[in-house]
Amino acid sequence: MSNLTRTYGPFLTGLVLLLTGVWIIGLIILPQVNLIDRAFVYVPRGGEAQQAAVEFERAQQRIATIDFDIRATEKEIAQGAAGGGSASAGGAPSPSNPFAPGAKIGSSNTVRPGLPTPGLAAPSASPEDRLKSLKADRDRLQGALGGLKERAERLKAEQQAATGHSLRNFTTMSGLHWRIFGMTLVYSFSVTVLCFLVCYPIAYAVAQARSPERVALLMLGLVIPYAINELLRIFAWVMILANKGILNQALASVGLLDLAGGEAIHWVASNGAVFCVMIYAYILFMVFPIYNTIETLDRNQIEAARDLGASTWRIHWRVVLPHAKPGIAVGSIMTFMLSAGSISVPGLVGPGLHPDWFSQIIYRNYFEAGNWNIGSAQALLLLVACTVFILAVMSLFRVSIREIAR
Amino acid sequence: MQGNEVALQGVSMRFGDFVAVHPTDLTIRGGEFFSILGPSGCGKTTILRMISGFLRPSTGRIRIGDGDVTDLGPNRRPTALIFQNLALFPLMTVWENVAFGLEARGVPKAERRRRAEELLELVALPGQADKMPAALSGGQRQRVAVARALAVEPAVLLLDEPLSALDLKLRQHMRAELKAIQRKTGITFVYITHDQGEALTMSDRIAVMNQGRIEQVAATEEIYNRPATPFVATFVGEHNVFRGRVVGVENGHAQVETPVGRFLGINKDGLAEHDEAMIFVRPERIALVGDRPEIGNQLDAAVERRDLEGPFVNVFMRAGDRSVVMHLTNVGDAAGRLDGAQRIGFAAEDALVLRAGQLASE
Repeated sequence: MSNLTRTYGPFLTGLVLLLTGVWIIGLIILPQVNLIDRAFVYVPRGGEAQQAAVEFERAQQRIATIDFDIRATEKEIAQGAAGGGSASAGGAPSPSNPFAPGAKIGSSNTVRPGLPTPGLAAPSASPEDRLKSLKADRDRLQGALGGLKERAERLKAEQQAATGHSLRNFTTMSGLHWRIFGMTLVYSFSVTVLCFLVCYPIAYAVAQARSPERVALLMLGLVIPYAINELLRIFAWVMILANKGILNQALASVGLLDLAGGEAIHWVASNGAVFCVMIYAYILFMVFPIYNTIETLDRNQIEAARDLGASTWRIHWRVVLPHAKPGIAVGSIMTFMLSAGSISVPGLVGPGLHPDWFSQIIYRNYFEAGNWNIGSAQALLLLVACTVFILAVMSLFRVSIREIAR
Repeated sequence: MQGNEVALQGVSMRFGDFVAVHPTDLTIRGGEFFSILGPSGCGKTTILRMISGFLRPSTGRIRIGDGDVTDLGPNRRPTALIFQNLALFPLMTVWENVAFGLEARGVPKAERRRRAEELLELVALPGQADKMPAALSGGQRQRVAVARALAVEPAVLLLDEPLSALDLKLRQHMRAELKAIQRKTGITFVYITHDQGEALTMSDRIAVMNQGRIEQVAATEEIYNRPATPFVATFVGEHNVFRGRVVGVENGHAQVETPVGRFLGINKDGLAEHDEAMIFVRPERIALVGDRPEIGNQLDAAVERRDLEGPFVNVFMRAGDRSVVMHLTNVGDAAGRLDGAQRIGFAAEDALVLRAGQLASE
């Protein structure tokens, strides 16, 4: 601290400390605390209380609609009496007709069983009959209204009494979502493992390349894909995997597919596609940490092991891999976190066609269902899973934070 | 000891256009301490790497014992290499390092551990088995490297300047230890060094290399006392050199006319009259004529500087346009006060006449 002031002066030091404080508190701690808080507060949307309130509201609307119909029918009867019953055949459009289908759908979908269903009289019935049945419906609804109101208020009071921190966001998560959560972790883990299997030989080859030109060339080859925007990289795969995309066309050109005849392999409709694109999209996050650690390995150690009679496999297992452990840990953590939280890859590669990625569920809860609390709970789950993964990797590889930072 | 013999037959190594080692025949006898001495870039490490199997010679065959190993990889040769930087495995304990070669051969763990302990005993490192290499001192790491190489029971142990990182005292101590280990085990040691002191103190025989060629292979004393070429003469130890022309030859000696005088020396190369020659005299063989009036070759020189080395005084003199170095034993106090113009000289038996050639310092 006193060192800092001596080096940078009190003003700069103060500014840096202030900005650091703002960053840590404002950009890390507060949002996280907020997210965790939300995750444990259950807001029952579409729950019983809400449902009851909706039902009460709907019943009131129904009554208003029926009142309107009654008035219209009474007017019709009055007109019929004056005009000699010219409209009695139902030829004139009834004002109630435009409402009828909507009301019908609404009633069959939202009104719970047991609630009086407003039966609509057939259009062919006489206005008097229709008026009679409308009035009967209205009376029934009116009668149920009191009960609905009482139920809605009771549930609301109960809910308010129950509001507070609970695990309900987690316990009420559907089995499907849990399965997606599990599958996302399994897939992310597999992406990580596959990335490692692909990257380790590459990183080793680049790190062991002897001539500087060759190293430069290999590095360039690795970096160029990363100079391209991530979205474009993913879209490249969209182009490749589309029904009339490059891959299917290539298959068609060798006669394996009949594109013109409507044959196509729906590559994007599988998690395999997402999986494959993810490996491509995140592979460099694995290559570079591993490359960096292998590069620092004294080549003499490899030669010494070889000289002492070790097989290639043993050299890697006993000398290179242990040395590269911190790099592998960093690469695995990055790849896993990126895969588990990826929204762009599952979102762009065949959206809706393949089974969901957990990040998409979170996205939908936040921005489509508008249920931030459930979304927060799910985000927290993902956060915990990733943290557990980091700790597991660190203990598995027996590397400390300090080694990783190095 | 025949099984530990190393023979190079017409071995050469070229990298593109660069010839690192010219075709070379060399036989390293079984059980001897053999040094390859030369300045950096002379090809000595290339020879070592060809023997160990890391480089495949461009031409020629390599035989160890009765087997031709030219086509075998380093892991299948009966050699063990000690690297310049030792290349211990930093993430393994000392005993795991020592036992690594056994591990690669599938020896069970208990047996490996036992062997490692034995070897650590041999290199005077008992009780250090469970430490990590980083916790050891330079000299101790050195011993671990030796133990690790010995663990695979090699026929030939190759050492690539392993002492160069140590300080002088430790280096001298380790020389003696290496020599003792070599005697105890009877393994052929091939020792690479650019330090002639190291080569002279440890070796049975030395090969002196220059620019990809072996200039001389001989026993230590012969290398020092009867160097075969001007390069060997000036690379191993110090020599005063006078260039000139042979003006007379008589029973094994040659008379050489030089700018600073006419000197007689041993005609090792059998030169004839009018041949270009160089005459070599060690600084310790030069004496003041005042002390030894009987010596034949005499010249006048002026003292320029005196450096006290301890046991002797290094006297830098000038004779004409030549500088001459003389070692005066540090007894009495005359050496420390030597000054001005002096008459110095050397015996014909202490001077060597060789065909003119490249010197080490050029």
